[in-house]
Amino acid sequence: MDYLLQMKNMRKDYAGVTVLSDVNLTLEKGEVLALVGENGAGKSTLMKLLSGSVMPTSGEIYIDGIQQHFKNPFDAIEMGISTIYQELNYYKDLTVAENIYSGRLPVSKKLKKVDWKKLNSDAQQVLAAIGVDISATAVVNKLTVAEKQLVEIAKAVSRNNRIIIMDEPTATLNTQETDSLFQLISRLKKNGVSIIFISHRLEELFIVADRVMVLRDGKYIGERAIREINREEIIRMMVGREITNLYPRKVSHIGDTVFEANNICGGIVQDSSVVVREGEIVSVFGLMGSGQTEFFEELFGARKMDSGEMKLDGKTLKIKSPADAVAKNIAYVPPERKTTGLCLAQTIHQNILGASIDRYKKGIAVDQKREKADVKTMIGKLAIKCQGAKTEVKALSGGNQQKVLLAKWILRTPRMIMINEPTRGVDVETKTEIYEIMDSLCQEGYSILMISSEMPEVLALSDRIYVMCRGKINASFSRGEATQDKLMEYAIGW
Amino acid sequence: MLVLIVAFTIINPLFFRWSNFVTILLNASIIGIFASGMTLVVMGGGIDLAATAEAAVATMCMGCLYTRGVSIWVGCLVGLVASTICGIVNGILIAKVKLTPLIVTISTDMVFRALAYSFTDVKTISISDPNFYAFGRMYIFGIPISVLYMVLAFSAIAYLLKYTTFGRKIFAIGGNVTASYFNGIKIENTQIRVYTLMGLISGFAGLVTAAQSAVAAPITLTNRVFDFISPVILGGVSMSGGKGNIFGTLIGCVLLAIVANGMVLAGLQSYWQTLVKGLILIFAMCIDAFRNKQSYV
Repeated sequence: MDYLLQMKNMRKDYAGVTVLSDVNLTLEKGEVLALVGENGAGKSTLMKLLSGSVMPTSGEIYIDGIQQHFKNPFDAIEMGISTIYQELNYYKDLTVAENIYSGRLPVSKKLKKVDWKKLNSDAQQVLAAIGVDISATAVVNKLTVAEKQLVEIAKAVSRNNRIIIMDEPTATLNTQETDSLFQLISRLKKNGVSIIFISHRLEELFIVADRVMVLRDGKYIGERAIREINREEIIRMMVGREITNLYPRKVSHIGDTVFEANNICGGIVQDSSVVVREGEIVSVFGLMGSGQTEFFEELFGARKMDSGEMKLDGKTLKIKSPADAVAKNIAYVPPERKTTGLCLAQTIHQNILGASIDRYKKGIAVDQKREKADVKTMIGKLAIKCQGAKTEVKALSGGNQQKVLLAKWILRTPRMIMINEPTRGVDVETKTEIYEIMDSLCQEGYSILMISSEMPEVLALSDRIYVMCRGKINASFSRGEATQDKLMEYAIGW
Repeated sequence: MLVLIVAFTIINPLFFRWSNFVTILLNASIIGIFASGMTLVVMGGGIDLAATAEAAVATMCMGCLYTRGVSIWVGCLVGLVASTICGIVNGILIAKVKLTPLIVTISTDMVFRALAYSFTDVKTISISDPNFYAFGRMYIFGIPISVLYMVLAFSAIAYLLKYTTFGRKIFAIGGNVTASYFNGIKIENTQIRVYTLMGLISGFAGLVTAAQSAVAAPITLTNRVFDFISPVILGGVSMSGGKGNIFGTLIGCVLLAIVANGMVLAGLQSYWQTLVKGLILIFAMCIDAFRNKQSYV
């Protein structure tokens, strides 16, 4: 059997951590392959290898049986592979035609000036060929999200690309737009274009896909023709890992309600409520992009909340900015420590004190003795491995950076600490240390509200778990009730 | 620095004399006062290209009032208030309206400078008040008073950066404004205070300049703003903020003053001197760029 595309034994390591190992993928002409898996299963990495934006550690890619070595995205495009990312890449102030032909505008023979007539008529033809009713001279920024996506598809078609990767194309579309996208996909199929379709919306796969392939924890789990599988079975393949208890929690004493958020709405977040009690770790689990981060940022005042109310220790809580939240002694550890969490070029000392500057005021100056002593205590308490407090944070390992980030907030002895991705990009050893830190914080009576995209982490650490799906919290489980299947079931929705 | 001193001494032995060193410090002093404030601004991730225009506003407020018979000291005080208000305007445009510091201060530079001209209808005012001369030209133990002002300004800013919560916040914001926002630091408030202080310091530097030359001229210090941005960058304050220290700036100021003085004594044409100044600024920025290597990804 001749495949259009074959990926063999694909492997990718980042700094010694394997994110993808021994994954094989085949694609036939005119086939729609659905790629599914949890957060961090390796779908995006696999597609980045195929689109040339990331180089594999090892593995071979064949197109029409000929081995390819993609060094950059242009090589992949050259071979007929287009990617339509979730975050669309387009020049917002240029026209549809200019976007479709960006980098290869037709030029006149003599003066090498852009041949606008040809450009616009070519573009209009491509749009007509895929049955899309958009003017080639419209400015892209004026289009809807769905239309922008169609422009991206038109771009791929205009290059005669034979493989189109669609990364969650329906996440931002309404039902009608989704339907017309599916119609377009079936037209493309008839023209012999193959599509790799990534989606968390399983019900869509049964409409659009021919075959489904499941990845989990960077490994190939299996594949089936779509006719031979049902929704339950896909979920089982997605989450069916061995349950090994990642981290055994010490028994903690759970006290009264500390924090309450009721009917929070704003942006993607709809009508979501949480309760956190003293000494408790509460998780909000959801698939990537379901609104968990937005929810936390609204609670912390970094993002505007349309409606809803919050209470801290039974008292109404008004928070308009992070400064308000910090003043009320609520802490937030953001997921991107390099961009929103730490000042990388500055020292451990400066970073740990970053959220507590005003606490060390003594007269008009700051109490440097107390600062130094407290920083030393935190470095010891969290076992941050470093030369000393004057070390620049960028010189530390990911795990130690994460500890500095935690130390910054623990120093404030917050009433509630929100942690978004406690162990992202952290080595295995430090992960366990961070779990221990979080556990002992609970023993000391702290309350933790957490987001993690790693399900084993959520299951091991949480006393209670809320599940968020498309911006809405739709289920809550106690420690005993929660299972992988149940969480995934509600996270996917329907 | 030693290399420079030796080189200039070889070219012109007059260079290596006590009186010449005093001259160098004197030349460095006004620049130094500006540079102390600019260190704060750059440390916080900003820049103030309107500083010399703020100085001119202070000077011309004073000059204008002086021609109407108001006491020179009251004039100075009003001048300082005026330049401080200029700083607040910069601060609000940058922190609240969230405009780019570079563009804001290029624009306000024009506005402030024009206002300074308007106060006396372009006229330069001579000031004949011995006490005012003393304010700018006095020597204490053989050291010009303006050098002492510079030392005072640097000490004050050094203290502010190292020992106050305000200084800590400037470092934090310059280091990573998003992280600082999540740390609960009031970004807008801090930024406005930085530009306000810069306005005050610029006004003071303008008044000292006026006292030294005994005139209040609206053209004062025009096109001199990079004379005190260069030493800040040369001294190791990162252009993107958050790193560096005030002593680097001080050394930068003295170093540039030595170069300027040495070039004069070496008999270089003024355009060559300008060229060297430009090259030094480029050199300083390159070092800064290499130190904070950026990639596209």
